[in-house]
Amino acid sequence: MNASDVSLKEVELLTVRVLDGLHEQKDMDRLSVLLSSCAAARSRYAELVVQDSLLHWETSEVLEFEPSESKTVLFPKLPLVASFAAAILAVFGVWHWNRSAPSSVEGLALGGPTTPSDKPIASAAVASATPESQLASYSSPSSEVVLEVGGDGPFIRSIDARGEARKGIMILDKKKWDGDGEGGIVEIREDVVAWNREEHLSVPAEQGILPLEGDRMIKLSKLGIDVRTHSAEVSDTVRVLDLREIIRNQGASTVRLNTSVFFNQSIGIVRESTQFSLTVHAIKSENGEPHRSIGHLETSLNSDLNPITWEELNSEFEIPEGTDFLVVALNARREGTNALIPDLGGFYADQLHLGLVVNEQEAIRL
Amino acid sequence: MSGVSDDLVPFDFSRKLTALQRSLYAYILTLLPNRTDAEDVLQETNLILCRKAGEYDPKGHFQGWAFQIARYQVMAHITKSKRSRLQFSTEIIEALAAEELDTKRIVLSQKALQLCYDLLPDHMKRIARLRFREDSQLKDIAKKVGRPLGSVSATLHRIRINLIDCVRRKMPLVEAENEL
Repeated sequence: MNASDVSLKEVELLTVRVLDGLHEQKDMDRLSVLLSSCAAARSRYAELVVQDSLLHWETSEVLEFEPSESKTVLFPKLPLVASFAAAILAVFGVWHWNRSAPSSVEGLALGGPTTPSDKPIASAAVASATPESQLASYSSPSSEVVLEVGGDGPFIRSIDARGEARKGIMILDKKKWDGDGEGGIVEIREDVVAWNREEHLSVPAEQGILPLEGDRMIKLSKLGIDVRTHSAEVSDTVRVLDLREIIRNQGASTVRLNTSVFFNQSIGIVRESTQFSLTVHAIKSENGEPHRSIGHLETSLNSDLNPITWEELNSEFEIPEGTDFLVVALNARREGTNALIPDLGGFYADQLHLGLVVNEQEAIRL
Repeated sequence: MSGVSDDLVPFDFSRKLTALQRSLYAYILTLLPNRTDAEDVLQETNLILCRKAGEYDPKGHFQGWAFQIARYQVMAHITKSKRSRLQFSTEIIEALAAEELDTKRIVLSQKALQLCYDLLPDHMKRIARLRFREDSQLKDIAKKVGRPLGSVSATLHRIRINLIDCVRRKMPLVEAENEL
């Protein structure tokens, strides 16, 4: 091994330390000396960094490991689908928004930017006390919990969100609270046990978005695009609530969940309003049977384009009799051709408040 | 034009910009080897490019123009955060910026990388996924896979070097396929 090999090995070691954020000032100084000393060192450095950027990119898109249950692909952190989206755009020759055939909800989603006075624009509540007619069953090999959920929203279409919901139910169901909550925190508020993922999803101020209060806010995951429907959406399960003690054991007659949350989005390439929504699914569990959704609620609003302002969304959900768990998810969705264009903007929520009103008494803050 | 334009950028410009994202990010990360910072600068660069869409001459060299703006943004970012971050000096950044970044080669490298990634053993794939897809910090990865931090760091090093060597070996094949 000659001196050149040695210094290139050193370049590799230092570059990897820098890429992994393990470096100190002395590492930067030494790497700077090596990079300024020869072109081969710069070339090796660039090779490693470019590969890291591609790995970051590729593992988000092509090298996906999860089995796909729908046509949805993960929307990468960075616009990996750039050429793909551009090709789609070129093929269709589309230059205007796709506003065709709106359903009642789609119509809301495709509406233009809202003013504060017209939001929340929708309260598309579909709650029923009987098992929902069209249920899809989801389970994972690693989980004992089978979850059947109904409806047609981002939560239903999101493998990750349903997976988190299943995990939360399993943790609460089996009282597996001894660990670290596996991506969430188990909280006990009066007679309600909750699995809370808020902290896990929270970030400090970024991309020009300041938290509404405090120094952290929820950042929704990356949007997944669906080329077939010209849409991009994401759903994150934020809370799973165990209501068995209150409903089953204490025999509460009326239970209502009041929710309040604020949404915001950062500026991206595509200056377009986003439909944010909150979904609540009431889950019934029976020994040996799949956990089944027996009612759900989705409320939504269209955000404005101002990153300074936060839009508030409130809802009330009459919890069906027989409910054992509640799953609360936050969602973001874009529709139209521009939904296919990679966007670097982030989607945020803050000040999520849940209040459980039992027998019209004082709410339990969750 | 003040602030971000409310007008949509021309289709051709948008197409070029989206197609360039991969290379643009790689270029910025080379000058500013911190993902969070690089992503911030990429976003700022994209916004400026969109604002300047009207100034762009379609006959001009789009990548050169975009890279130049990205370099200015890197410099501006470093000036802003100079006191708090470990970053390269201006001289080193200029030297690195002069390195040629071949976009066509990046596209081919990406194809080769896919082939090579598939060859990684499962335990390496798991760590790679946590680091590169989920952006997990090394200490979090160590906790998840139940191994010491130093071991995870060493594995990530081996993953990178193995992939670089593999990509070099696969490139002739990928280039040949591309020419067909």
